[in-house]
Amino acid sequence: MAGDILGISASGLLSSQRNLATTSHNIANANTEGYSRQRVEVVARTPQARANGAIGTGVVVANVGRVYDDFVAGEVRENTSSSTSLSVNHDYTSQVDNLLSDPNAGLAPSLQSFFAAVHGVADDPSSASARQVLLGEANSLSERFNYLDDRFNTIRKGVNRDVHNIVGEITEIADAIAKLNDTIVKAREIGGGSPSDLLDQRDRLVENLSERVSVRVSEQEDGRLNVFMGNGQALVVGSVASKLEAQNSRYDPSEIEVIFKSGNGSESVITRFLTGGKLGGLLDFRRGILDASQNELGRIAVGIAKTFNEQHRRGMDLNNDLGENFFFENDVRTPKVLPHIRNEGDTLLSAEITDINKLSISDYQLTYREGQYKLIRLNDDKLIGTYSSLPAEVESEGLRIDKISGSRLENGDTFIIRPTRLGAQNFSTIIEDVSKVAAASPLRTEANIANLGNGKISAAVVHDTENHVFDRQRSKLSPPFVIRFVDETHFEVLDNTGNAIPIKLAATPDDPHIQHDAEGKPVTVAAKETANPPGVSTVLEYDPKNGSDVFPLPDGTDFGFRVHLSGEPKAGDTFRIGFNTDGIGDNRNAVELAKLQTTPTLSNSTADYAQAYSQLVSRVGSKTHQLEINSSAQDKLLTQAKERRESISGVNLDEEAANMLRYQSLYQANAQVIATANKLLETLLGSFR
Amino acid sequence: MRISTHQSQQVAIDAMLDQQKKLSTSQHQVATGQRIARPSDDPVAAARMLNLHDTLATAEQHQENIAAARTRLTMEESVLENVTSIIQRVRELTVQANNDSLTPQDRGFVAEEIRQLNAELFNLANSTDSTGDFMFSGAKSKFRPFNHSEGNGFEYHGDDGQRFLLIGPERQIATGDSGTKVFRAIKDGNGEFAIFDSESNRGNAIISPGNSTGDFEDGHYAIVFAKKVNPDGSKEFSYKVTGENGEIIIPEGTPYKDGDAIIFKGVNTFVEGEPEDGDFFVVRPSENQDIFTTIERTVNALKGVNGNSSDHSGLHNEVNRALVGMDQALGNILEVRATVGARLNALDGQEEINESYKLQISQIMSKVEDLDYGKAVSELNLKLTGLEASQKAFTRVQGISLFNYL
Repeated sequence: MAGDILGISASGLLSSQRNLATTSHNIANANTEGYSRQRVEVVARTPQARANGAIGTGVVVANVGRVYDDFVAGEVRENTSSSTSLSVNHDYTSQVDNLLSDPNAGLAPSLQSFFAAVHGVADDPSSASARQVLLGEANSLSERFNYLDDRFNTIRKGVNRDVHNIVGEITEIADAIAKLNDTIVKAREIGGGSPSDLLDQRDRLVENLSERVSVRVSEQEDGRLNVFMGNGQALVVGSVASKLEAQNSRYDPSEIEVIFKSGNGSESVITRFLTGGKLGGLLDFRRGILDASQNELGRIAVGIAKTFNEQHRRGMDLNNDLGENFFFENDVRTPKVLPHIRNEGDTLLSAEITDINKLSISDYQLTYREGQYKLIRLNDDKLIGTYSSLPAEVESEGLRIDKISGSRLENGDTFIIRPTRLGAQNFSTIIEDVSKVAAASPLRTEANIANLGNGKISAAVVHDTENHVFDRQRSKLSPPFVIRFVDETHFEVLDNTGNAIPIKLAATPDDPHIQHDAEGKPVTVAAKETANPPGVSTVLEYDPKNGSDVFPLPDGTDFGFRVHLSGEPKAGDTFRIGFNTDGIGDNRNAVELAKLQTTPTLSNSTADYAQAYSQLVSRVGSKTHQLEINSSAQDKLLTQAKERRESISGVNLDEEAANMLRYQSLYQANAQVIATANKLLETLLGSFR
Repeated sequence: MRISTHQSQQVAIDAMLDQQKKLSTSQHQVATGQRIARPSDDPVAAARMLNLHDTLATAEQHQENIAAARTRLTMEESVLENVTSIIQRVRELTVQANNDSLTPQDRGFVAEEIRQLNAELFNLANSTDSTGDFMFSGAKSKFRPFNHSEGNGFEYHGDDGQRFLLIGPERQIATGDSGTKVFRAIKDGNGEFAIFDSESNRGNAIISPGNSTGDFEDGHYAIVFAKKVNPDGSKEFSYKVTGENGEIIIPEGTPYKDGDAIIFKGVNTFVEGEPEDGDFFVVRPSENQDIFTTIERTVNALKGVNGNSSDHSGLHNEVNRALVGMDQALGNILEVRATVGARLNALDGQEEINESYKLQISQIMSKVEDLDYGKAVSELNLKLTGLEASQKAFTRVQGISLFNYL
């Protein structure tokens, strides 16, 4: 009987020792990250069956297990992925946000000073210093574009480096999980129970993984944990881990892609399937903010270069030459087309911006299949069009795609087209000589001083100096024109050099005018005008009330400029249109250049340069704002999930203290029972003495 | 709900961090006086601010352009004012010299004074602006616009170009006028036609420059006089008017009396004095003649270089033409000055518009960007209190543990 008692209370002692040990383990791990509190499960030992009933035999420790909720753990993982993704994205986006808004680094001030300098040239077109200021400001503008682009590239490098590191970490963690899987199975086989601390460790690893990329897990029956990512790639299966690698993109070596290498050695690019975690956040940032912002900045750069150059070429410089390109345009104009490294054909393509106004900020993908080229806009995955031959005019996007070289194209060959990515990088000023700034208009209009009527000719508005009448080589108008009134309501447009222009105009002798000899001294050329010039000519109607536009001629012939006649000319009155030689005090083209500042030339004529930039700033700003809100909301969700988990699995020291007291007294009680049993035994033995 | 010890600490720490972050934002706002530190603080306002800054800078640029335009136009106006008074003085002198009582020597002195004035006028036409550009050479601002040489007379080396400046959105204004417009495009005669006396005239008839009625029919006409001396010594005058191809407009033998009006084809004139038989006058449409030439011809006439100056009629005819020519020139310059004045007015008007626009923008900017200090400071205090409270709570909660009582 006393033996029973001893056995029973010994079992009680043991179980309370186990409980105390577990309590101290809990206390020891109270602050251990990812630790789940452990609990001793005790059950009554199997009773001895007697005739008078079942006699209790004490207590036994059934299991030491962790208090753990699978569902809550899953919740914590998911929220961790979302939360880190948003916070990484927010961190990087804030960098761009700060960069663009920095009053010293942003584009706005440079743009403003540049146009102030254009106004300066308009105020005083013949001043070399005003022109020097303009070139200086143009260089600052170029440097600002280059600087911003450089910063974008630095950020891009940072992103690529982070992707590289995180991909490495993911592979390591996956490896560790696979190894732990094995250890856990072995521990189970040896100990029979569940190895709580190992399980905690593994859960902790999975949580670390969730911080890096979004994963899904499922447990095998033997206790091994399988981990999946992306759109179903198995990162860990049983005790085998797959590998992730960061490699240079097959289109563009400066871009990094994530490659999945499965156990059987097959490789696939999974970049676009990855979501969540730091990796997902980085990739989201790269796609959604970095690429878009750099493209947008590039578009502004290309826009300025193209539109400013266009107007500048319509002008005339101090050397009496027609304006040339002000900003470097060749490469900016030619957007980058990148063939996939695995393309089987040898064809290389090019793209040209045909309309900067329609150009979007997206990149495009062109795929060749069965004689058809399919063009997809990448920011919304929209099919733009299918083309059966090159060159393809993509009018809606302001692009033309053409072939550079090569003869073969195979099914599946793809190309990435980046119309404006390099815009800001390639932005530079090419004019270095102050005299090359084309502030003047290249045309001069004059009423003959011998005119009897009071007819007036407007200043010419030039819109196309590529027209054949503009002789770039020799800096002249070829031919110069003269408008001669036949009577008060009819005039004819005549060639003023002696050669007929292709509208059957007859030659008319030169008007008297002043030329300059080699030393620049004015020399008068005498009038040779005859009363009735020979030949036929087109006679045009003149409206003395409202005046008349002369060009384009009624048959549609356009000479690249417009003039307006007004007033009441008389028969024989003439008006000359010639090259604006020595018109260095003319500022008409500078004024037109200055007007570009507030002309909506971008985004389907909705934005001028500064507005396009503020749109970029606003886009990044609101994205940052949105990420900030989402990120803090997601943090709250994560905190709640973690609180739920802590509430279930966390250690409460007060609780443990109470438990300690409880198990201590339990131990004391059992020990007291042993002492009692001992006394009973002694009493029994003493009765035989 | 069960609370783990770790969790209760974490909550307190998180709360403190959060309070600190909010405090830092408030602190930054109060320190800089700006509500928006980064675009993400208020993306809409940030983009708006960028646009407003841009608009403000553009308006300021327009104001600068207005100042530049005003400098140029004011200079032009002051030159034109001098030009006007010189021409008026020339006109006065010419009227004086047209008096028959003056001796040729006196007339020579007056002529010399007029010549000096013409030289002064010529210098004014070649004025340069503050940057050394010629004011009246159009776009060819580095070329001296007017030259004078014996053989070629007065020559113009500028062009008709004008310089423009943007003074407001969609608004530009010319900041100069060409030499042609100011000094050259001046119609001689009365603006419609000019009447010349023939150099071969022998009589002393003086023809009026004629009134312009506005319906002059273009063409050359000759008014030819006939004189018949009756046996009684009385004289009978008649005239005819022919067109440039000899066609008869007023038939031969039309009787003429001193001061009778001669009216044809929109010409309305009269002749004073006695023409000799065969004396004639030519009417032709007005042509442009620069003011210097007009004055020079007056000088020559007064000096007797041209025409039959021994007889006053030639002088009077020449001087009469010169006087209407000067009136034309004065009218022309007045017209130019009126446009300059109108442009200066336009500058003032636009300047006011720009200024009030700038003010509006600045007000909007301050509304969008500036901080409400009262609100911000009270928020800062609130956040400070919050942080202090969470710090106190943390230390208090930290101290409590059952282990303390064991």
